[in-house]
Amino acid sequence: MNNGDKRPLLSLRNITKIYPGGVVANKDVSLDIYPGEVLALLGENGAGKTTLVSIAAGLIKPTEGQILVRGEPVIFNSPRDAMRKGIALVPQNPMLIDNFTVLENLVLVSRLAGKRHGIRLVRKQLEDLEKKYGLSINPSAYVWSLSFGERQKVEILKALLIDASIVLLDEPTTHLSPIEVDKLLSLTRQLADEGRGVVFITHRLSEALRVAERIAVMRRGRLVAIVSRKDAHVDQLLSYMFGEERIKRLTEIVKRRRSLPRGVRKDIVLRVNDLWVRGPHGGFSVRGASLELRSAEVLGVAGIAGNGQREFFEALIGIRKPSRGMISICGTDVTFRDSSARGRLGVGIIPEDRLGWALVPGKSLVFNTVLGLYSSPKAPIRFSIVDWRAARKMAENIIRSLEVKAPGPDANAESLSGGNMQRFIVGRELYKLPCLLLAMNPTSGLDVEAAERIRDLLLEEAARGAGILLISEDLDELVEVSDRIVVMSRGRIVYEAHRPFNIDKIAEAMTVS
Amino acid sequence: MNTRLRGVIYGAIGLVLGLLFSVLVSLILGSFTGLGALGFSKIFLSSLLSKDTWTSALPYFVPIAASASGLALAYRAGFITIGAEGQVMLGAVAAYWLLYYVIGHGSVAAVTAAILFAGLVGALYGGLVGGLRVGLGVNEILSSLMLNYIAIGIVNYLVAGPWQQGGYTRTAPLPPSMSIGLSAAVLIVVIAGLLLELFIVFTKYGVAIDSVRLARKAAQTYGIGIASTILIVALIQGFVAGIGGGALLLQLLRQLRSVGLGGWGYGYMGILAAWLGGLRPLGALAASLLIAILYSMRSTLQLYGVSDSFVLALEAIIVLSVLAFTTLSMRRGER
Amino acid sequence: MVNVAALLSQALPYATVYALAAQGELFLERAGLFNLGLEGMIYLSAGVTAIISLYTGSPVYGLLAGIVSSIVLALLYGFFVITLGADQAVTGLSIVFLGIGLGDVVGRATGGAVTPSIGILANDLIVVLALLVLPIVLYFMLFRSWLGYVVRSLGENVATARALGVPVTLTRIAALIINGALVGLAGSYLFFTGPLGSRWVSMSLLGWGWMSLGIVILGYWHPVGVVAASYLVGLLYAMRPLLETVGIPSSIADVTPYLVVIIALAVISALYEKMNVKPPTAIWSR
Repeated sequence: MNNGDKRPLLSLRNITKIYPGGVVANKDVSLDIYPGEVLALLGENGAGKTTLVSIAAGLIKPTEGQILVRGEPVIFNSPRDAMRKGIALVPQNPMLIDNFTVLENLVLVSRLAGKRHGIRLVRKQLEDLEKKYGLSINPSAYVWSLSFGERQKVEILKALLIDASIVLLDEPTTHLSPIEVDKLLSLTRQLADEGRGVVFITHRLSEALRVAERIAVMRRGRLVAIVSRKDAHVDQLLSYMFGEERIKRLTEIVKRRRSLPRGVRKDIVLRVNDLWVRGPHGGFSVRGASLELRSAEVLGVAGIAGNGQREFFEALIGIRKPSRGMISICGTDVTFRDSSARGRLGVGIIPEDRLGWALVPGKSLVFNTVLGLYSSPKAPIRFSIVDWRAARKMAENIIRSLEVKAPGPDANAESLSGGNMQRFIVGRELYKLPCLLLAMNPTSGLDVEAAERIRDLLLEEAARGAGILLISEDLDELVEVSDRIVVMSRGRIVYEAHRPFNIDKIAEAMTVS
Repeated sequence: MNTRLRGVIYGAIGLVLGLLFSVLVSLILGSFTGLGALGFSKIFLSSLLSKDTWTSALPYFVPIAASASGLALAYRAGFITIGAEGQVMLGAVAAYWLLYYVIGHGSVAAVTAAILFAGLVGALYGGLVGGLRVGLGVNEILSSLMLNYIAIGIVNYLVAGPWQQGGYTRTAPLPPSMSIGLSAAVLIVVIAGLLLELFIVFTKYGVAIDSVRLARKAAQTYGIGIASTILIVALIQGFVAGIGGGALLLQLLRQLRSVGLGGWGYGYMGILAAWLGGLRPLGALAASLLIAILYSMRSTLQLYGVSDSFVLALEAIIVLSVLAFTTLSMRRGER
Repeated sequence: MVNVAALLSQALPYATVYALAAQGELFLERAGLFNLGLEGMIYLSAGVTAIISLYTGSPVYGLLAGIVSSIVLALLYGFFVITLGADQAVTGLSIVFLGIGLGDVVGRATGGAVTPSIGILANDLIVVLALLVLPIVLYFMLFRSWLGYVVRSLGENVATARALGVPVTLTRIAALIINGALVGLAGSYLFFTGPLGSRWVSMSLLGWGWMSLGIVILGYWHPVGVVAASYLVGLLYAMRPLLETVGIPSSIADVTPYLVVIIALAVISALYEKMNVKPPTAIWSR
């Protein structure tokens, strides 16, 4: 497409964003978005893509730089200002009020965007949009009852409802099934064809090549290249994304991993039999899941977000009571026992959220070491008395052996970067010498190198003899590290795959219910 | 920087600034009392520095500090009970009942038993609040408050009914043999506060308590029982407050009288002291002394026409000022 | 025989005080803040009403001044919680002490004189406002209008609301002013028609704010529920003399409302959840 005769809808000029604490998220980024085009913003996690669109959507303020809408300089003090200029962000994790209905959410947003729409009018418009785009949704459904894909639909409806001329889609495909991805890509196309400017953020090359006219690549906060699709080459895009040296390093990591010794599989360390678990809003989220895991084995659990993985994980670690079924760990029935029973058996737990679930914010790494080991036999606790000196030594050991970048064991857990936090957490769990390690999305939000470090650590632990259950939304990750993969859909284990994996079959199983 | 050290340093800076600020505010308010700012500050100072104020403060220190040090523990766990008031009262009732109606004579053993029994009843009352919260999800602020009013009702029922002695609504005074000295009462409370501090710093329950408040899910995941932690905290808090009530009866009150809706107020002052002391039992002891001194100043100030409610407002201003400056300096510390 | 009609109407003044204060608090809690300081705000408002009515000779000025004083305390609370980011519980509790202390200082300055009181018409007006108009207005405002969605979004998930562009601080300040005004009105009304009957007696207006906080939960953060709970508790108060006539000691009769509330708190939430009435997530989740 020739953009020469068109004025850009949105122009970002020399945008720099430095977070308090000195992290440079964007450095001197300039970008134009034209009407009728899809621009893919490509880059790995932590490259600064989300920061950039958040600035464009008024969620955060740039440290330096200018935003122009249709050539006119604007200053956004709030997302409302951006919405009123016709800019809508579809965030990676939908920003909806759970206890509101779909309609209530939409009315709220359209009012904030300055539209004088009443409740009745919004309901009417929804019907029109359903006809035009095929986005059907029950307006009186509560958001908490919706699947991830449906919530994303609501987000897109928001953008359409406020008649946005610029739509920013932040990693919209992360939690979608392949069929849903196809639908989303054609919808994206439709939005652009109607004259909107669409920014499509992704870290997946294939999607960028499928949907976009132009591909902008970001690396470490900078915009490194903008290429049009017809001139784009995969190798070249990869080197833009990671840099030559990094690609070399990553290939070596993977090569080294392939040569890692594998442990000998022996006893069953985890057995789950016909497990039923209720979700936070009543109905069953896990419906009769069964699986077995042996020592020194890595078992991946694949599935699209919201298919019961979280409840399954919570039941396994003992913080959500199953309704029926059986969980046995290292030969002990722990179905209806709490997490301390797991702790005593030496189960390592790596939860999905680092702060608040794995670590206590505002407390030191020493404190967090004691917390993690609280019910483990390896805890620096004797007769209920905490041996703080021993705990300190443990924290120091973890920091040293896993190369955690932290000022010291007394540093506030909150002050660490995501990758360092996760290494500390993994190191702490390995201190238990676990017979079983339960991990959920352990690399989410980490940049590629930090993620690879975590995967290496998991594999080394499996080689030592621990059984590892890895629940992950990242199918590539599962294929990379698992010995076996089961697929969870609608709370059931619907498919089991062995090496070498047939990825198409797994992806298909993820979407069939 | 070291998180623990930083917290203490910034907390201390906030405390000093807050106290200075509250002196300023109270001077301004004092200028409206009819004495003028200068007159008020003179009287305030002379009353503050008089020996009488300090010695008469110590009896109040006993129930306030007992409430405050236990509440510090509860608030650390995010268990916002305000039930110390009722527990102090029922502690006093329990001590009176055991000593006067059951044992009937005074001795070291009898007095010890009475105080321990007071603690036990306080613990039960606290445990009731904790149990309602853990078992039925009842908001502890409200249930503890309702229980405070019920405690007032119990005292008023007893002194106007089965335990009434003479024409007034009050019980017979305890004979002198059934008493403890001021120093003993203070010592009991200080030791209790010290034990609580050690409990927080050195036992695993300290880790549990902080984790439950700051990251409930993390606590749950790594084997800390939320319900049991809250119950333990509720029981301990009630126990210490109950002991304070027992010691108060045996040392100062000596008899029970009918109570107004405001209650005795010691448990409520303990709430302020607990926050003022930075949610640490030792800090709460120090803050309780400050609050007890202010409380005992009210009689001196009353002679000059400053009403005792003014002292209450003053206490609130001190807490608010300290709260403002500690919050501000802590926030600066995070940057 | 018990005169049921008299009993039902005797409950009205109590219910009015509770309904005003509890609906003020309900509104604020729907906006995601909980102000424990109601007790102090009611007390201060009553004291200020007393002295201003006495000095100006006009109960209306007294009433307005009481409302203003309560708004000031609510905004002080807002300053601490919103501007400084201080803990809500400790700020609210301090407000209790501050309000009682200051309220008693100014109230005592009346020397216990009887002040001019509001007339029967104004009295009835406030009763109707508190028990009929306000719950309907609040219900439609909170649950059937977009403004209510703005307010309630703060009580559900303030981070998301902020990201959506809801003016968080502005909305909360508005909620605080409404909270202060309604609670202040409760305090003024209490002074004129409560047990004192337009005469200040120290420390006799205690417990109203605390009970109102409980009523917000009893009514499960719903205007209609809150008014029903207010009337129920008001009825319990009005029944105290009745209990005494059947031989229950007055000290026990006095505590029946508290006893009933604590039992109700324990059993009621399941009932409401069945009716799909939900508390604001930020304030309370089961």
